[in-house]
Amino acid sequence: MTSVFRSLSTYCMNKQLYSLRTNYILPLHKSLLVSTVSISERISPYSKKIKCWKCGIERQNINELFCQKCNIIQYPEVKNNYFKILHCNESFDIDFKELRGRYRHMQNILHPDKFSNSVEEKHISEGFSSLVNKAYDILRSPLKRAEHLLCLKGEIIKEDIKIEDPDYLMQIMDLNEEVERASPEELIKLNRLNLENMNNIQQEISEGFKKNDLKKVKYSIIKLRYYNSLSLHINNLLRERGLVD
Amino acid sequence: MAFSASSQLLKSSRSPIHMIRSAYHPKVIDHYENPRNVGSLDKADKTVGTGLVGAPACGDVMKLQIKVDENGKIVDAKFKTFGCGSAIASSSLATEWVKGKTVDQAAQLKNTDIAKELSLPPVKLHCSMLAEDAIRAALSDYKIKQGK
Repeated sequence: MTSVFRSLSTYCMNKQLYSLRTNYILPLHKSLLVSTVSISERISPYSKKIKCWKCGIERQNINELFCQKCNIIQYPEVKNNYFKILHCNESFDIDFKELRGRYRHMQNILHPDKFSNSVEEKHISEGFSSLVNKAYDILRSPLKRAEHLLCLKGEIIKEDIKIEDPDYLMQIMDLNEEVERASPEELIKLNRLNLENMNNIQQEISEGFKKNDLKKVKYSIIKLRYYNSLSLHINNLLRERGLVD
Repeated sequence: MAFSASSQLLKSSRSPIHMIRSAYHPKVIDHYENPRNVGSLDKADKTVGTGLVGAPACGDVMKLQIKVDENGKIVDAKFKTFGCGSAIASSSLATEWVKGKTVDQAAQLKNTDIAKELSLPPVKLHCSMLAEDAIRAALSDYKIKQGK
């Protein structure tokens, strides 16, 4: 057993997979005894073999929420790609109705109340359904979806990136001030205008992702944040004045 | 196993936000509820410097204006901020501090002083930076107008 561990750690070190080692060896130590080759296959993301935690059978389709043999709920295999969690294409353009349908379907079958007979299954379903909630929350918001997709492409927006356009900031400031002193009718009009602006920027983001012009995407995301903040401001006022529920 | 680690992560990622909300310093709340020097000065006035800055991370916008007399002393300051409580408090405090100072003294003001005074948590440090940027922008606008 020790020698197997040692050979595997050398393997990992050689492949610079050291960080993966602790994650993979400990839960899978039983299969280690069978063959180290299968472990190296496990480590490679391209030939990932996943077994059912309950019956141990190799799972054919890791996207299935339940084991094909024993029909027991499984741990989610992907945790940080919200598109994969909700089985969507990794694209900024999504069909919202389809997304909502899939979200509701998943929450329906993952609901923890359906697993009250087994502590472990209930635990899995709780974690899984909260993950699905999180994924839905991210994907349904154009801003959060764009940020997440950008992150999946290995890019982040650093805090020191600024829009070097004083006119743009002035425009946002003016809009905010206009919102502040607007009459109810004007407020509703401004809200419509703002939604239009946000739609246009979402178009820009969509095009940017299609052309893989991530610089443009970043710039548009920052613009969208300003409009988003304006939208929060408008909605707060609309609520305060009882113009929306 | 790996999964329970991630659910731990989800839990811990939720709690800091809660902590921040409940841990707003009384000084922040005071400035937020009774902001000092809210308003606008005439930006076409030659003795008025206007600084307009935005926070790309959250979409907050802040306008800070100073009115300077012939001796280079800041006699009035106004701000308008659309953003979170920390951004409002930072700009409110900044206007309080620059009033009565000379242009050169105001340029020495550091965001760390604002953050310290308001006990801002690390995630809100950028709000105090925004206030510092706004002061700098206002001072430079004033200098450009004066042809200095």
